[in-house]
Amino acid sequence: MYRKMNIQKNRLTEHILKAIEENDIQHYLLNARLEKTEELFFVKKECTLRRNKLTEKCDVTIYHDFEANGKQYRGSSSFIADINMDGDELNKKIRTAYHSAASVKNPYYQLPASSERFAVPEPETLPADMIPRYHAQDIANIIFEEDRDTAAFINSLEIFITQCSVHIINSNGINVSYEDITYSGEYVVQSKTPQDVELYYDFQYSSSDQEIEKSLRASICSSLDAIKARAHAIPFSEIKKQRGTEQLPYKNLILEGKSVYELIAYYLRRLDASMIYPKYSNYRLGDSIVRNAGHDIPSDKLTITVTPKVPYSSEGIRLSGRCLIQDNIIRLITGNARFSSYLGIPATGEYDSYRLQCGTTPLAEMQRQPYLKIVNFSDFQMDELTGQFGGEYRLAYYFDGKETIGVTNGSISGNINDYISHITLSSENQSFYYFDGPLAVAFS
Amino acid sequence: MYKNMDAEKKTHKLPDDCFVTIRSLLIDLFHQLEAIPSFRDVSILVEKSTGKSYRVSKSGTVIKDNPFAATGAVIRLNSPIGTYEYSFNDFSEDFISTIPEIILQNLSLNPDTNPTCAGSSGQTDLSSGDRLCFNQSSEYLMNPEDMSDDEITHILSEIYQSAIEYNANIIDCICIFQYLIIHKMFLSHDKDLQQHIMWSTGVAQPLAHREEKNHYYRNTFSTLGGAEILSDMKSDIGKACDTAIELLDSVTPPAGEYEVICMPDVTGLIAHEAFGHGVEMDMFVKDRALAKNYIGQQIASPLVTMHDNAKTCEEAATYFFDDEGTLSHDTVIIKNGILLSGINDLQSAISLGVSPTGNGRRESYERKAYTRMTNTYFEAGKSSLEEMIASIEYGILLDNGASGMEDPKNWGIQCMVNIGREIKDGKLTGKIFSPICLSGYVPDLLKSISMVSTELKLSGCGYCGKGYKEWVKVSDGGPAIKAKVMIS
Repeated sequence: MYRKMNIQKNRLTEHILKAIEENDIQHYLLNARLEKTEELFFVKKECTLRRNKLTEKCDVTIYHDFEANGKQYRGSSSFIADINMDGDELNKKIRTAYHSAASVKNPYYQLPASSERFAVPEPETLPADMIPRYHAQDIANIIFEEDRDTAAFINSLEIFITQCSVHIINSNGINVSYEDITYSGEYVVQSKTPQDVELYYDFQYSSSDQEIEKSLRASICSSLDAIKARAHAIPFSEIKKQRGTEQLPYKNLILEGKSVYELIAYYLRRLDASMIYPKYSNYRLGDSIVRNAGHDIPSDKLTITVTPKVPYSSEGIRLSGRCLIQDNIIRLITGNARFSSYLGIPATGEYDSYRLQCGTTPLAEMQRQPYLKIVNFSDFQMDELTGQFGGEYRLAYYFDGKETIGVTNGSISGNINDYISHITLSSENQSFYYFDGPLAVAFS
Repeated sequence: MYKNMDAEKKTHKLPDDCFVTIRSLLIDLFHQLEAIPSFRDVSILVEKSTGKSYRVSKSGTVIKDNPFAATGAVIRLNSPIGTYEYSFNDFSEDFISTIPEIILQNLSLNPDTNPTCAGSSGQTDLSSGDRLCFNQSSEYLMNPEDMSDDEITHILSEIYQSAIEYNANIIDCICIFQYLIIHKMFLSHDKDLQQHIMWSTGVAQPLAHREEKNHYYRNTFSTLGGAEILSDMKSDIGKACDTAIELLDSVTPPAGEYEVICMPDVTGLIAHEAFGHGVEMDMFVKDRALAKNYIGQQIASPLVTMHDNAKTCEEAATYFFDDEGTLSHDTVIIKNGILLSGINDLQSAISLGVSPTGNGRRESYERKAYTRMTNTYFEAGKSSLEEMIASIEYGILLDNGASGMEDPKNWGIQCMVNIGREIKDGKLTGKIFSPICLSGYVPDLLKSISMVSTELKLSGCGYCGKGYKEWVKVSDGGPAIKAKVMIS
């Protein structure tokens, strides 16, 4: 049961707007966030800590327009305002930010404007659909109902139900707000025989996600199966030793699970104006993302749609599902107001969730030839500046053409720019908070 | 002994009166909560941190509050249904007066579905009985708050400009300066503590570009102090640019086992990832750390002595008390290769029946306290770096650690390192490898350490996550070490 938030929702933004007006500030952006959480922490099935949180803060950006050497500049400086700041403190913060912004010589750009006006929800009132569908204990019950096996079990669990209210206002007419609830957490699964091992997993759902319970149950079952497999897995180096070889051949490197999101998110980041403007990325609309193809290996083409989880960017720009890449061809450059303005393109806001169109190759087909399929990394790394990726894996499967062996403690590294021209996308799908797309990708 | 340790010069202290306006309100709240029969072991941690982050690069200039600046409080108490915490940031008298009722309501809501919590925050069990009061401050040489934003961005712009003009291959240089002034007050029945700490960090990261290839070199700076590090940042930029350009010719090393020399920042990464996380005792409680079974045993080369030291380092993770009111310690984790002790938060110490080590840290008042590292490092040894390189027939010198991931349960290690320099017949050949993924089994790696250099350096520019969240400021480091590792 959630109680009404017993603070007035608009008190902080009104307080700041008043101070902004008193200081004759012409250009500003406020991003206020009221957050309420319910949190549970378990070791095995025992709850060791219960927490609640109620916070209200506002990110304030003050802009300062000036001219130097015949050029127009728009400097900015930000600070976090909290609910305790009195008028004097706020005035001081605002004046300091305005002066600081004068030392920020960023070329002039337009702030986002909107004709859309959304009524700010009444204080202390939550729309019916914003009442949490699940409380932390409900989530715990769902998870523990699937935790019935002594061979593989949940070692520890953390659950966070976060109810937030966001209000974005700028000096150019933006005045939007939204509320959201996220159901998130992390858990560790353990198996003690034949080896005592563990694997880490997390989950996150938003109020717009359907079938949360079904998805969560499936994730728990799948994690428990994975830990049983890891308990039997052999270090990759051991297999090499057993076979007396330094290299174990395989035709396909397959990545399955969340690393698919991280790997392909490289393109999301490279196609943001903040990467293109400083020339970290030289992608342009209409370009192919595949460079230096130069061979005849058949490859799947990427089609990516950005799929926002919230309705507005931090600047109040309306976010929407849009095609980013169609059959490897760049269709959209995303970005905030500043960098989009510098590139002379419309500001779309920034995105971190996306849909990648599945391929036509079933996983079974990818696994017909010898392969190494990595299903759980300790920490998959994708460097957005260089395209280098890699990491140590905690669970993978090696197929030598005759038998499949669970392997662990190996690592891979490579550069996506060398591999993208021979990528295969699975026809099977996976879906989680930031991603909807192929369950697996394979590189020949 | 430590980088930037220059205690004589740091004579300025931070103001220690920032809680004056809210202190009496919070003491009243503490007494109200303590008077409720259902509550025991009540404590309140109040945080008021301020600081800024400055970034100059080709993308422009950004000035904003340090993302770790936070103002708020967290109450911890034990109740009939277990340990409970309430985090809030509204210090108005009206709101504070409602907190006891809010907590009572939260604890009694839905009695049918509320879980039964166990455990104790242990303020009563572990306290000495004497009320401990102090109000302490760290020292600094130059307070960034005494400088204008214009002065700081001007210095960063100079560094940026000198990098850009250094060579046509340098296309950008990300220059960052951050500082945080942390004020904390801890109230419990036996403690009334205040601390005021300032740390500063800097990054100068030139990015080199040639044809389709990008490479960067991340040069980091940190101190328990203030803007004094800005001058170090200025002086090192040429070397950083040279290294970034050099990396454009790097190749991936052939996978295999190598003899390596780890430079201090890579040693620090290993200390942190390989063993620091492995001795966080909340992992012992969860049966998630193999180290639990190895206390008193030889787990590393006799050349290895490792500390987690929040007490005496001049580095960014130093404090007087942790976020549970336990005084900071210098904990010797490994002594001459023998695992002596883990580090812990209060709840873990109680669960395991050991003394608290003062490692209960929160990302902020908004988050739970976990066992966390502080300044983690290996002690220096007796070899010179030259001797160490000369002792290798074929191997790699590893420098510029980037990131790592722990595996306390299975003692696996993964570290990403930016630079590998080939060593052949005891000499650097000039060939450069990048990136390098270092992996292996922790005891194998620690036992393989055969030489340790005399020079000890700590770096506190990074943050440490617990798994994939809960970021706290840490430093790590050590001397150069010679070891055997798997590289891919």
